[in-house]
Formats: sequence, C-alpha cells, structure tokens
Amino acid sequence: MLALGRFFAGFRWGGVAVAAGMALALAGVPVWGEEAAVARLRELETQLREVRTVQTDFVQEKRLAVFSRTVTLTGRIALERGERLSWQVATPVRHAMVIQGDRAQLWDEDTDRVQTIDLGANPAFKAMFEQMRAWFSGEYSALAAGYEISVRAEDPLTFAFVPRAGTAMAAMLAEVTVTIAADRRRLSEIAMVEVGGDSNRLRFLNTVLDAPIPEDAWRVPPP
Amino acid sequence: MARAAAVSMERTWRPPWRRLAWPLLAGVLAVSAWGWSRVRFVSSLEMLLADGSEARRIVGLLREADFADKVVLRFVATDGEGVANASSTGLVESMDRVVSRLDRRMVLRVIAPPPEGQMVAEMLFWLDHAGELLAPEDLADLEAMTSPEALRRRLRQCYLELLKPGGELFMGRVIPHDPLGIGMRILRRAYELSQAMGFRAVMAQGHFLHADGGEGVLLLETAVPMTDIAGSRELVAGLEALRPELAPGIRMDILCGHLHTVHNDRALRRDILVAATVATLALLALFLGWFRDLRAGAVFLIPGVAIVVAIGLCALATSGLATMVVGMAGAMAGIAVDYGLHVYVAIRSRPDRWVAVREVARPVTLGALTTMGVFVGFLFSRVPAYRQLGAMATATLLLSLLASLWLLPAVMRTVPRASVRPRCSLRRWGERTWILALVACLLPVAAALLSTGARLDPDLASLDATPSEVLAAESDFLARWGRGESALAIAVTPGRTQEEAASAADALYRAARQALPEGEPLSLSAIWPSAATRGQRLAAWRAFWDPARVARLRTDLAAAGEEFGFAEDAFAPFFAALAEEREAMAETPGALVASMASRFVRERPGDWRYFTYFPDTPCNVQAMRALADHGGGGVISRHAVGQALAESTLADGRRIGLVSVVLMVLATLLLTRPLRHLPAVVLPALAAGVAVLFLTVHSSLSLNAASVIAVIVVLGLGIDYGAMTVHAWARDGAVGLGQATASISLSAVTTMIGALSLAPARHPALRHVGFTLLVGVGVAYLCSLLIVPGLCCALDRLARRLAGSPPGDGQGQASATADGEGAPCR
Repeated sequence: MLALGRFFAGFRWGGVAVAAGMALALAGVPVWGEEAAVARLRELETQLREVRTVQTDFVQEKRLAVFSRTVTLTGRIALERGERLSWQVATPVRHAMVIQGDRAQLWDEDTDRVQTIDLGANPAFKAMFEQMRAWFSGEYSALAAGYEISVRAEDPLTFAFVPRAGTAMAAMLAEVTVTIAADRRRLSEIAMVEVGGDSNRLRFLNTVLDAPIPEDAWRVPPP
Repeated sequence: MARAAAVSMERTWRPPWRRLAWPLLAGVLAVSAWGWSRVRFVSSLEMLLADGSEARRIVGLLREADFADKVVLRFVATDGEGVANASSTGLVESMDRVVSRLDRRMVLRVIAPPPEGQMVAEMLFWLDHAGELLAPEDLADLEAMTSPEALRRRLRQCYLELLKPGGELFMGRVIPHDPLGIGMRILRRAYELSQAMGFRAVMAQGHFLHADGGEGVLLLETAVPMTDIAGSRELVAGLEALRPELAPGIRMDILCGHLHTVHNDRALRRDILVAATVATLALLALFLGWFRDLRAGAVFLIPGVAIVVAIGLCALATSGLATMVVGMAGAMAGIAVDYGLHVYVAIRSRPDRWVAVREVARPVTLGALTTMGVFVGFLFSRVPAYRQLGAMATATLLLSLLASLWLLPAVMRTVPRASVRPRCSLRRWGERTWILALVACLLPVAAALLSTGARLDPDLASLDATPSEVLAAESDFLARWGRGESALAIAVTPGRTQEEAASAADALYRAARQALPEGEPLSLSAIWPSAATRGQRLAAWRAFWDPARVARLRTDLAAAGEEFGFAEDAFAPFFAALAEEREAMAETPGALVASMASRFVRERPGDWRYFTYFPDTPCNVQAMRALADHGGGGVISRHAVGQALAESTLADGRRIGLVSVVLMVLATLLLTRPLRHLPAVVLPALAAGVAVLFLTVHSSLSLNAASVIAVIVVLGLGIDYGAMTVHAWARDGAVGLGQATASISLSAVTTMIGALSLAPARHPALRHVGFTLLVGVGVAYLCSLLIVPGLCCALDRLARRLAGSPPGDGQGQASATADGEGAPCR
C-alpha cells in the first residue's frame, strides 16, 4: 500500500526489465529439471560474467488482441553488463530507452521529449530494473525464486520460465520461452505468452559479444 | 513572682487536642492502606497536558486515531558486523517466521500489502467502475475527449504505449477497458496519494521491502494502548523474544511508542529507587553525624512515612497516579523534613519540649502554610500531574507538620542539650551587614532585568527518557524509508457510521482543495469517496452516456483505430461496462483500496474516523481548523501541539502562580510579626525565583513543564527560610549566628540533598526538577543567611527612625521579645 502508485508505474516498464533481462542473460543454460536447472544456472554464472558487452539487432512480433494484425518492430539493443542498457526501436515508430545507474531516460518521436526517471525515488521501477540487472549479472538463483524453470527442447536448446503462482508476473504472464544459440553464448529468441493469450516474439540477430559499444548507443534521443 | 509563674506555666503547658493525635494517625493510616490497595501508576507524558486544552485535544485525537498504537518491525540484512548491506538472504524468511510467532493476544493484525497476483485484476475492476469514482471536473473533460480528432490522438498514444518494451503487459490490459484514458486518472490519483505519503517501499513476496533490497518492514496493529505501562512492557518483551527467530545476519529493530512508555517507566522507577536510596543514606548520615543522637532518626522518618501515607490518600482521589509525581518524592522529603527538624532543634535548646514546640510552632506553621499554599495553588491547575503533585505534596506537608508538632515531641522525652558557644550573634551579624544587605537587594532586581528573555520550552520530547539508541534507530528508519506522514498534519472527521464519516471527509476534501494555502490535501475521498458521493457520480456518468453518445463513440473509435490496426472489438470491455446496469458499489472493492484505507480510516463500532493529510504549516493548520474543528473533528498538527502546549502551560502557570502567591501572601501576612519584616520574609523567595530564571536564560538549564513545578516550590521554600530567619532574629538574636540559623541550614541542606538525589536521574523531568530545586534552594538559603539579618536590622532602624526613637533604646527590645514582635536593632 505504501508505494502502490509506484508499483503502478513500475508495471508499465517492468515488462521491459523482464524481457530484456531474459533476452540478454540467458544465453547458454543447458538444464533439465527445475532443481537441476538452478544448479546448472549457478554453474554458468561464472562463465556468463565474462561477457562484458552485448550488441544485437532484434525483430519483435507482437500479436495482441487489440490489434487486428501482427505488429512487427525492429531495432537494436546494447548492454554493458552491470552498467548500462540501451533499447532502441527504429520501425514502425522510433523510440528509445536507456538505463544507467539510478536514472532511466525515455524518448519517443511523437512527443520528441526525453523523460528522465529517478529510480532512487521510484522504488518499484528500481526494483524491476534491479531484477533485470540480476539477469545480466548472472544471478539466476535469485531470479529462480519467481519462476519455475524447465527445459522445453534440446535442439535448439529452449527453456521455459513460468511465473510462480501468487506473484505479480503470474497475473500477466503465462510463460516465457528462451531459445539459446548453438554456440551457447547467445540468445537467439525469446517468446512471451500472456495470460489473456497475447504473445510477443523477439528474435536476436547479428549479436556481437565483448566489442566496444559506440557512444551513440547511449544517446537519448538517438542520433 | 511573675517570672516564676511564667516559668511554671511554661513547664506545665501542653498543646490542646494532643490526645487526638494517635487515634487520628491510626485513622489516616487505615484510609491510606485502603488507597494503596487500589493504587495504579501512570507514566504517560499526557499527564502534563492541561484538561480541555488544545494540546490535550490534539494528543487525544492522535491517540484515538490509533497511530500511536502501531508497531513497526524493521528487518535489516547485515554483514555480520551489524552493518547493513544489500543482501536480503533470509530476510523474507525471518519476517515470515516472526509473523507466525506473534502473540495474537497483543497483535491484532499485520498490515500486509495486497496480494501481487490480484493487483492487475483489481486495477481493471477500478477502470470498469471509473464512472462512480471520477470527480465532476473529470466529466467536464469528457466532451472534449470524445471528439474525432481527440480520439485519433488518443489512439495514436495507445498504439505507441503498446509498442514500447513490455508495454503490452500492462497497457495491453488497460487500454481495452479505458480507451479514453479517463479511468487512468483514478490510478494516477492513487499513485499520487501513495507517493505523497513519502515512504520508499515496494510490495514483494507479501511484504513491504525497501527498493534497495536488504531491508523490510512489518506493520503491526496492536491491542495495547501506548499509555498502558504493563501492556507495553509485555508487548515489547514479547517482540524482543522473537529475535532468536531471525536468520543469521538479520537484525530486527522495534519502533513504536510503547518503547518510549517502557523506557520512561524504567527510567522513572530506577530514578525513584536511586533518589530514595541516596536521600535516605545522606539524610541519615547528616542527622546522626550532626546531632549524634539516634532519636534524630525519628525526624527523618516523618517525611518518608508521610509520603507513603499521602500516596495512599491520593490514590483514592485519582484513577491513575503519575509516576513522575511519585518520582519527586525525594524533593518533597527534603521539604517535609524541615518541620521536624525545626521542632527537634527547638527541643534541644529548651528544658521543656512542649514549651519549645509552642515557641517554634508559629514560624514552622508559617513555613508550612506558605509552602502548602504553593501546592494548594497546584490543585487549581488544569494539568492532571500538577493537581496530583498539589494533592500529594499538600498531604505530605500537612502530615509532616502535624507529626512534627504533635508526635515528635511525644517520642523525644529527653534530648541532649545543645551547646551554646556564640562567636558572632545573629544580631551583631545583622548590624554589621545592614548596609551591605540593602545593596544586595539590588542583585535580584538586576538579575530580573537580565532574565527578561526567559521562555518556556514547549517541547514535550525534551522530557522523554527514551535512550539515544532508540531515538537513533527511529531517525535512521525515517532517513532510510522516508519520513512518511511525519511532515503532514491530519484533519480528523468523525462519524457514527462509516458513511457519515466518509461524507464528512468528502466535504472536507472538497473544501480543503480550495482553502489550503500551501500544497494539496491527501484523502481517501480522492479515489474512494462515500457511497452517497459515488452514487451521485454514477448517476452523472450514466446521464452523460446516453445511447446516442455511446453509439457515436463506438463508430468514432472504430474509425480512429483503423489507422493503427486496432481490432473492431478492441474496446469491448469499455462498452460492456457502459452498458452494465448496476448500483454504486456497497463495499470497498478488494485489497487495494482496503489496504490504502487502513491509513485513512480508523474503524470502531459506532465511532468511525476519516483522516485527511496536508502539509503541516501554520497557515494550512489555521485554514483546516476553520473547516474541521467542529462536531468532534479537529486537526492534529505536530507544530500546533507544541504551540498549544506552551500556551496552556503558560496559562496554567499564571493560574497556579496567582493562587499560590495569594495564599503565600495571606499566610505570610497572618503569621509574620512584626509586619515590617515582611520584605525580609519574601526576599529569599524572590531571589531564588529570579536566580532560576536567570540560569534558564544564561545556561543550559531550561524552563519546561516539569521545572515550572520546581520554580513554584522554590518560591514557597524561600518564604519558609525567610520566615525562619526573621523568627530567629526576633527570638535568638543574641545567640550565635550558626546556632540561631541551625534549623534553617539543616533544612536547606536536607532539601538540597533531596534535590541532589534527582540530579543524576535518567528521566529529564526529574533531572530538571532536581537542578532547579538545587539552584533555587541554594540561593534562597544563602540569601536568608547572609542578607535577611541585615535587612531585618535595616527595617528595624527605619521603623525606629519613623517612630522617633533613637537607636540603642533598649525599651522596645524587652517588650518586643515578650510579645513576639521581635527585637529592634540598635
């Protein structure tokens, strides 16, 4: 009750945190049962921490009941592990989100205004992004508390994350599946199915690991 | 012959009603014992608030609001060295374990956040019922929001929201229920409402956790009022006993008003024990060392027994006796022992004990009556603690006086005669110092002029004996979690039913939005008004959405949405809610509003209270008082309570002071002989009072609700010393200075011992009383010893000069001594 409103605010962007976190940090997690999965995730934490930066293009397909057709978005994601995250959409409308430290900057071409959010003053929002950072940092044991994890397929290696009953995510998300690339260091696809049947598929293309990220990636609005 | 007859009469004189003393004592003891069987001690600082005062009304409202009876348990993950860190391992488990082991007799409810899984569904429910929650000004905007161009802009905005990362998760649900975005105003108001309360918390895993991790809080509603000492002790002990349930590396801080009650009570009990022990030992050592007579112990017993008896008598007249007042027993003992002391010294210096008693009865009675006059003045106070002090001290002094005059001589059959070895007689001392005394009289005047800046400290917190580590934990909590509503004042609207209170809160909220000079009011009415208001709003909402308007909107929305790919039935939930025929909701819909309401509503059968928060500034408080101060409602302001306390204490101080001064003057006028010595009688009191005021201005000693008591006591004692010195001047002018003033010296020393025993007290109220008494009595004693004899001499000289009698005329001396009018100075 104390921070109800903040929680509302967090909802809107909380999904961003979850999606981005899953997309970028789950590369290479070959596990089977839940206990075994958590055990393997812990083992992989050390290996994943060695990835300092990630840059990838993405194609996102949104199938929502409110739309009469599938909406396809393209853009680029950049990540400095433990430091910064950039999410830029190029089509069909341009918008951008950059999170750095305790500050998040948001921009879209319609308003052409940069909205800055102080995460320190917005606990729910911050909590969501802290969860995302946990994914980036390979702290899967903490994340596993909110999801039941299982292996959906072996080739390509696909994990299923089902929000545990009673959590806020369980009221919205039915399942998240994450597909790992063959080199086991990258994510190739993430798909979310919502409770109401809406779905959202995100494919990662041209992923580059541990390369310097150009400063333009962090500019809001993007150049 | 005449002299022999007088001596014979002196030897055979016995006080009237002497035989009644023992039966009277037995009766008083029996009544007191009855009182002791039903005595109940109270350590609340509320006892210092005047009845019917604004301060008491505000504190009463605060107490009835139940804010003070809540407990916060703060859990902190530490690194093992006690330093907080961000790791929250074991935090939630520790909180859950503590919750499962709470004593449900004492903890009524754990205030928990609404279940996370229900939040989205509840928010959608709100959107579907927005019609009865939106304010009239919201409806006024609807016309413009439904134009075709406005709809196109709105759906473009919805489209962008849905395309943003994760946007579909929440907005994908909201938009079908609220395509116009008007229902979101309700959620935004709920957001603003919670944000304005100023706490930094997130709801996760069924608990309130800090956004930075590593900390969580449990909010408990208790069945124990903060003023219940025994209950508070049991509650705090029960919570302390839960610490073993904590996981390693987890610390638990208890934050509640009950902790203040427990620590204040603990400090008072310890102080009383220490003061009683110190005073007992010091007085015994003094008596036995000075008089070398074991029977002097009887003198010492008088005040102790009198206090015990007085407590029993006072217990019959009050439902709860302030521990703080009992804590001043040491000081009272120091005052009450004086009468026995004067009698004992007189008995030692006369061959017949009853004659000695008769000689000393008038000044002793004068001293007792003037001091009692002070305390009788306290009986007219509106402050319960002052009234109890007045009753207890008056009873103690009266019992001590009667015991000294009637019982003490009865047990002092033979006493060693005091040796008389005068070096400098009192009279000679007065003759030598009368000019100096007149000059010294100017000192209190000068000190008074330098003390004009004396002000009463209205902060009751300065009298709180809670240890610094507890206060530090509270400050740390506020710094880490936010100040919450501590910077806000509260307007209370009561009602016999929830609807009555909610309707009053609605009216107040509407008025406050217009009237508040600074900031905005925070009220549940912003998101969940009364049923009557919601019914009116629902009717207006339905009237707006006539079938033709609904059909037009359906067509226009479909047209505007086509451009962005919205499905034809994208907004079906919104139209379904419009079509639904229903009444205003009867009860709070779900955990979200219920959880929020716990901060804005206090529920008791037949007595509901709604709270409206607003920035605590003087002009806001004034504006809200005009709106809320009626029908049992009112404003709770931390700033206003300090001001109100200062005002009521000052008003009460004036009343007590007036009554006390009138009684003291009457007693002094009746018993002072000759009357020309009146200035000498009152001089020590004036000097002592001014000295205390001077110190409050020029040192760290403050004048507060507790030390005001001591100041008035000092005035009474000052008159006591002045009267005894003047009596000695008249009776024992020829004997040595030390011997003539021996009883005064002993009296001052014993009172100062009583005051000193309070000086190391942990409780600030007792400490203030101790220091004030020490300074005041010290000055009064020095003044009566060093200045009063000289002043008496100067007054005698002046009287003779006015009467035309030359200095050194011995006629008047003999006659004055015989009739008690006092001896003139040569």
